Amino acid sequence: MSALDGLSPVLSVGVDIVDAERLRRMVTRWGDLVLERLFTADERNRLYGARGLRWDSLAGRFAAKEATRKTFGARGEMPRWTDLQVDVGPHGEPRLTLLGAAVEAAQRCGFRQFHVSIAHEKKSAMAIVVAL
Amino acid sequence: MTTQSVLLGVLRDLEIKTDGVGDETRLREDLEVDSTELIEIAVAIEQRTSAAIDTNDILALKTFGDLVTYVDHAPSRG
Repeated sequence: MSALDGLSPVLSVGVDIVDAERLRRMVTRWGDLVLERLFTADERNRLYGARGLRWDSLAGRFAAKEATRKTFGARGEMPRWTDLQVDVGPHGEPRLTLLGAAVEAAQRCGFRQFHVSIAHEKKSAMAIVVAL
Repeated sequence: MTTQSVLLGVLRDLEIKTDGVGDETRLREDLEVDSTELIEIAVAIEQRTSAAIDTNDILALKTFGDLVTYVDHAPSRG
């Protein structure tokens, strides 16, 4: 029996880096018109803190969504940004929730689980997503 | 005003050079438009027209001509 028996194989990996300043300019210019295309209502509620929009969180979430879309893209699927919700787990870790058509798209791809990691810098955010 | 001229205005507003843009001009390769800018283009088109622009649809378009045809056939927002 191999030590790898029972482990889920990695089916796809996606990575993305977001220019936080560029995203900020876009959201500053277009406001909710852009936010509503990219984030679910739950996410938009959580993006606002005591000092307004939490820009680092916004860029990180967008990077996670783009990285997730790449895991799907490698399998010929492309879910909407608003069908991918980036939540926060009990330890502060990012967690992906699939909504709407993304649920069936994941089934078609054979994805049962996602692991998400997000990193922030002043001017950028990056995320990597592993689909199992 | 034609759809083509509206879209050229949208691109110029986003500081994308429109010299020589025609139906065959490729959005990503020739105009160097990336997915983030396509989101802005979708929003800007809706601000200038009555068309309802689906962001996922617009991401799949290849050329400026594709974009013109898509906007011409897009449902109206209502």
